[in-house]
Amino acid sequence: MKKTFKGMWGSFEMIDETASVIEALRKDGKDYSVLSPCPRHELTHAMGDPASPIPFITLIFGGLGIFFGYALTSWTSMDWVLPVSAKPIVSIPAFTIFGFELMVLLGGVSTAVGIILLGLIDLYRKRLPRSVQFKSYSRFSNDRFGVVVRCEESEADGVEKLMRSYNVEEVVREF
Amino acid sequence: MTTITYADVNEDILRTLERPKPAYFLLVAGFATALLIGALSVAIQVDVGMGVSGISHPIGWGVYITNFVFWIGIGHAGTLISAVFFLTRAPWRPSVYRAAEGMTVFAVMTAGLFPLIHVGRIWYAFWLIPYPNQRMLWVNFKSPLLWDVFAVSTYLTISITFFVIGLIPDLAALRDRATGIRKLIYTQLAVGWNNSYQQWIHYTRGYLLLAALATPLVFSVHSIVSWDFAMSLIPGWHTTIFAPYFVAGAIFSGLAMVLTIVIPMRAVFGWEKYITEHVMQSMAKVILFTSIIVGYAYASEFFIAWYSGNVFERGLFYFRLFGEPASHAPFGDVGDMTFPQIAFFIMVFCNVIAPIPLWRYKIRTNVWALFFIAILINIGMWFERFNIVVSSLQRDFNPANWGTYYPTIVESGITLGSFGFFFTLFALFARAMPSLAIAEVKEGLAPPRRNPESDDAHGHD
Repeated sequence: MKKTFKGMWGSFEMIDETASVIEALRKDGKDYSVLSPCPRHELTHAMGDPASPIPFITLIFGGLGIFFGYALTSWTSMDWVLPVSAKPIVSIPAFTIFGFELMVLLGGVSTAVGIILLGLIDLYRKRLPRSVQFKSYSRFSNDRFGVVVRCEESEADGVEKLMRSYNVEEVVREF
Repeated sequence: MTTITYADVNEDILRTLERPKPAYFLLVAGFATALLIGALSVAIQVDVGMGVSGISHPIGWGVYITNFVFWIGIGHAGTLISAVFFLTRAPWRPSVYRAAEGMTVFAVMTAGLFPLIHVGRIWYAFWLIPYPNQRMLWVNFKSPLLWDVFAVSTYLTISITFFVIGLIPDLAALRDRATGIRKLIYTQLAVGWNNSYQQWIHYTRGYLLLAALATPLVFSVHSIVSWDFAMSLIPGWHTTIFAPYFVAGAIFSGLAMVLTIVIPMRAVFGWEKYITEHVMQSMAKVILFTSIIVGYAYASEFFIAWYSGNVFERGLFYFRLFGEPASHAPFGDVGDMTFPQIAFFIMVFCNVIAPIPLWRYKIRTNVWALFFIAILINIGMWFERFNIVVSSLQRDFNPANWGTYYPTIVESGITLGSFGFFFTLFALFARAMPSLAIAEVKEGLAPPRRNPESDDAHGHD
């Protein structure tokens, strides 16, 4: 069943005011999302420096790449032996190139896939408004910061008051 | 930069994607014509056979491998700017990185064509890939040529990945501005990007890791390309200096190509406030630095050839500089300039002498002087690769095995076509995608604040 959004959202012009609202919401234990035209450390700190599992994905797939690089070259060299003078059949220095290249290849591609997939998963977990008004609001990729709060209708007045105290440009309730 | 607002960035960059002037179509038509000449030349070679090229015993590697090394080298500056300068936090990077990264992708795509063209029977090129087959034959993983297959294909994949990931937020900005069919296309390409901070957190972390992976990759790829030569025993190739020499040369030529592309774009799109004098000057300084490394490598090669006492090395480097000695009269016209000699002098003039004016501040900040020097460097670096590839094969250990080489019209057509291929792709890219990174340029600006002092309250990274 598709989850529906219940809550409100507001747009801000100033980053310091947006950061203050986020800090207040975080301290209050509210479930919120932030929208921004670019990453800014002020917002990251205000959100409490959230972490991403991306490094683990890179580590696991990079490690697999190293293993696969050495394994493929060693196995195929033993499977079809190509003797070249007195050189070793399984040559670790030569095969290190494949270990390295496949580490970068699998690590890099998995990181990119991770960025896209984790973004989509978070989009599902942290639901955003589904209204036409929100979807047609295009300034979060341009010059405005947004704060989305998932809350009950009873909490809306308090959140709106907080946003207005930090000069929110517009507040929209969606219940 | 402080007077530019976030909205200005979107406006200035996305404006370049509006309907272009007729001059643009003329330019693309010119590039496409060059591409067509190249395609026709390849078709002739496929139809008639490798005999139409000048490649023959003993010069088995000619213009195709020269072009391969040249284009791989061009690609390096893009990754250097997008990954290495990202890790070192070079403040001038965001304004040129998108164009440089696009240049990398198209240059490596161009380079990737040449091993295929060079093998002659393009339809058997898949034999280079280790795949399970009926006879359980496997490729030789100890061959530098196979190292190349893995290095170049990894480099192309990672460059495209890096390029595409960097584009996603900007595609979302495009989507939010576009209408009709364009909106539909950009919506699909933006893969659900909505500027939420969860996405930014994964993006910034992942981008850092991609940069960390791409940094050693960029140094490894041209090192591996250099080992195609250095692992052999041929005089002039069998030298340990090749890896750093090739990497420095790649950065040198790549940055010159970035300038060649970026300077006209800056003038046409009016991007002077983004690609500032400081940006141009910073690139000029890196070019000057790598020019010194390349000049040192040239001198070192000659010194070691003499100092080693190896007669074959000495003979080859004498041949590169002075042509045919009188004692070798039967093997060439003594007194006439040989082709490797011409290539050598062009290479030294363009790569060592032409960048010397960059020591002067006035030259580094004069965009058209920079443009002219960059063009010279592009020419010089092509001839450097030609000199390395061809002259060594012309004079190996055994005089009975010596020969001469001149590119044929088909090889020249394919070389012209490679420039057509590269510039056509770049021109189409500049028309369809933002050539400046919107989100990264914004990251470098001061964000709008009610209280200008407030940044300190939240601390800095």
